[in-house]
Amino acid sequence: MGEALAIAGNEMRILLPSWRWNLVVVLVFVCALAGSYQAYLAHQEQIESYGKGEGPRPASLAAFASGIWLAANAALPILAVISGYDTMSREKKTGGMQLLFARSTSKVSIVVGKFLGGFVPTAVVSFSSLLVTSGLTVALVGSFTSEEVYRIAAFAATLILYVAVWVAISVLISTVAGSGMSSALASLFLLILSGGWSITSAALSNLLAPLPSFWAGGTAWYGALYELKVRVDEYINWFSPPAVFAVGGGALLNPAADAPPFVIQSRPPIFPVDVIETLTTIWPCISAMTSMLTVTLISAYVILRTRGIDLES
Amino acid sequence: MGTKIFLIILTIAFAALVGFQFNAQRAYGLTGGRATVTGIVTKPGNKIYFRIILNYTVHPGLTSITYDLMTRNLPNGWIARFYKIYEGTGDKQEITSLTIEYLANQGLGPGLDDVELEVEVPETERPGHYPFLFYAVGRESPLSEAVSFKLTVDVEALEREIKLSTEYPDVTVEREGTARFAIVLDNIGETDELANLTAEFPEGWRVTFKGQSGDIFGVYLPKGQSAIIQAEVKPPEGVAAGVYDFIVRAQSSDLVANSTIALKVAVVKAGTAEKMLSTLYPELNIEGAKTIFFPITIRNLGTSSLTYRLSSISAPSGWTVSFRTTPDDRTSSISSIFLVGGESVTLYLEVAPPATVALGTYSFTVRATSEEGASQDLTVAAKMTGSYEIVMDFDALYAQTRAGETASLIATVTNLGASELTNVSLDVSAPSNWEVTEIPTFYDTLGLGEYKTITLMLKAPGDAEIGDYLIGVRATSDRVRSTQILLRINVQSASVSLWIVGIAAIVIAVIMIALVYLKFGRKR
Repeated sequence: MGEALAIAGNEMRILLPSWRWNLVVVLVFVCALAGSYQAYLAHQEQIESYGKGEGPRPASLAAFASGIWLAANAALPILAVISGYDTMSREKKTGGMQLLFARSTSKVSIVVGKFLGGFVPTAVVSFSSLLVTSGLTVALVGSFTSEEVYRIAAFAATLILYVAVWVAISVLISTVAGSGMSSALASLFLLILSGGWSITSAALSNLLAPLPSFWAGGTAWYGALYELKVRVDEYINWFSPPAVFAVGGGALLNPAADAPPFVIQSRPPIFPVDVIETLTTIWPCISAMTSMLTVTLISAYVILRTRGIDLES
Repeated sequence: MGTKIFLIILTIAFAALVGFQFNAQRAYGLTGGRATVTGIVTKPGNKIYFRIILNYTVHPGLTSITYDLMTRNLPNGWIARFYKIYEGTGDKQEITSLTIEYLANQGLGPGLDDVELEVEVPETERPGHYPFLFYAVGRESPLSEAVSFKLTVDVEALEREIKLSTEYPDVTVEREGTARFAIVLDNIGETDELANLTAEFPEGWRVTFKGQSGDIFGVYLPKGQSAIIQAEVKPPEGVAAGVYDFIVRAQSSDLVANSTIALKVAVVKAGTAEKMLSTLYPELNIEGAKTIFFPITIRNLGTSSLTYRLSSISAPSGWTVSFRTTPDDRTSSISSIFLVGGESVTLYLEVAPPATVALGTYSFTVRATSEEGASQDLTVAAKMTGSYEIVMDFDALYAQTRAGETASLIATVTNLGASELTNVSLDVSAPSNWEVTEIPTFYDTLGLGEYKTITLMLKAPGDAEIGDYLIGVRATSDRVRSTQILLRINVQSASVSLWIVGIAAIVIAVIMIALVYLKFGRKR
């Protein structure tokens, strides 16, 4: 563990002075500030509408959700990718990896250390952006109820798990990639691909169960193919970190939201949904992200163990 | 990696992610939906309809989207169906899904379509509040392109009402004769009824009810149907001349639906009769400028059939006078009537006021003239006592403020009565320690149909608890007050303390970042 922490410390000392990382940190806080201000304006409009008997009751949690959503879904995943995209490739290029092997550093420590080196500062920035958005929401919109505080706390944990997944994915890609450039490109491409997962999943499910768009249906084979397409579309969503996070995080920040389509409920909800019930409903999302994190880190370890022999030689 | 390349990649990645995430509905997809009506009150056995509008804002790569339509949490036994209504023809087609084209790229704006949700409430459903959910889930993108919202149905108990009426409630009878009333029993409720018939009458009199099959004491009436019952009233031997009152009652076995009707029988000596023209109510009081009906009885005092001409002799300026067979009859007025010898008939004298009318008593004289030349006048009076009605409305029923700060709302008070109102002000029921200010405090007068505004300023106490407060407000005048409107004021803690909390959170964030940078920000 000591080795892993030492590697993590070194990684953070390289990462934090990096202008690339700092640029994205600034982007995160710009998103948080702009999102909060935009949420404040929307909240004012909502109050006006609610006074006229239209729209939902204005709530601080809804303003917070609007304020944080852009930072959580766009800026923080990029920050997570930037945190880990060249951890391994840089070491291979500078010969640091050979040095680590020469010191008989365990490969588990290398993977965990590299991961922690990217994850810890990203988690701190994530948590800070949550605090900034919460603070601005409280000051501009109003205080949170205790139920809302629990929801935000649960959302914070989910968000940190989500950024951890992206740090791990970028570490994994860095382990495979030949250079920092290719690693960054591959990581960001994957991020964009999974960010627009609704299009990706529709395209993949159409590919796996092609349905002629001009055909209105009515035959048995068409029905079977359509069923297959729907099933593929449902299951394929579980492979996208942003899709899973959007489901879990969205439900946590919206007590009026029923479980989203690809999460199956055990019983009808009672609105507004209690935070415990929301957590129970979205538990598959938490499990999925935890699995993604674990599988990604183990994959990085296995690849490093396999290819490490080449590097040593 | 080169700086320029990095910045380009970063910009593309950020723009792509923003494009995916930042949309009109934020976290909840690009699909919008709303119902023009979200809560409906109905009765068991009815079908109700919600018009639902779905709009599909934009989605890169998808030019159309198909929504599966469904409901959830619908109570047992309820049936929901979706219909597409075609413009122009008005034809309805039952559907289970709906495809919306995204037409912005053709300059036609976002995709928009509407469906009709029909919900059938079982006849056996109990009264209550029934919420359920509407869902539209996009097949192409069920993750983000879905919309759901709550719809509610309030089921009310079925109305139960029966009504007794007769065209001729006042009958003259000779000492030895029998008075006969044709009574109509209407079931104007929403369920079938079995009505029992009873009567209250003076001692010694005999009342019997007759249907088609003989004497009856109960009537079965399907909803919306009516039945005619003959009531026969026979005086006792040696009854004194005079007017006798009777009450006939019809009531359901569970006593929920009931109706009564008052009847009068005037006993006269054989061969004599009362006045040719008479009324039981020569003077009526009314509120406001409303049309009045005086029941008037015309009797043929002779033995031969005669035609009587009816006319208005005097009426105040601007008033119109007509004779009607029933108060509901708006199509024809009566100018003459044919009566068999010894018979009588009750008509209604309708007097309608002009558009503006001052308070006071107005007299009307009418005349009945037989074809033999005999005539009789009758004078009736209407006493206009005035009517007062004030209504109030607010620009908003919900406002937010902070402890120690003031929320302002604008009330509009309108005089909808037939008389001028004086001393118009607001009566505010606020929690203790709240400061209530009205600008202006009151209006001296508010003319007919006039409306004025009052600014209501509600200042929450500095130590007010956070939460929603209900403030009851009525518009009052010397004569009348409006119904109460409840304002919901959301109080948050004092702005200073909220700012302190908010800034504290931001300071903690800055300290966390600073600590990380101080510890790891420099290379060894």
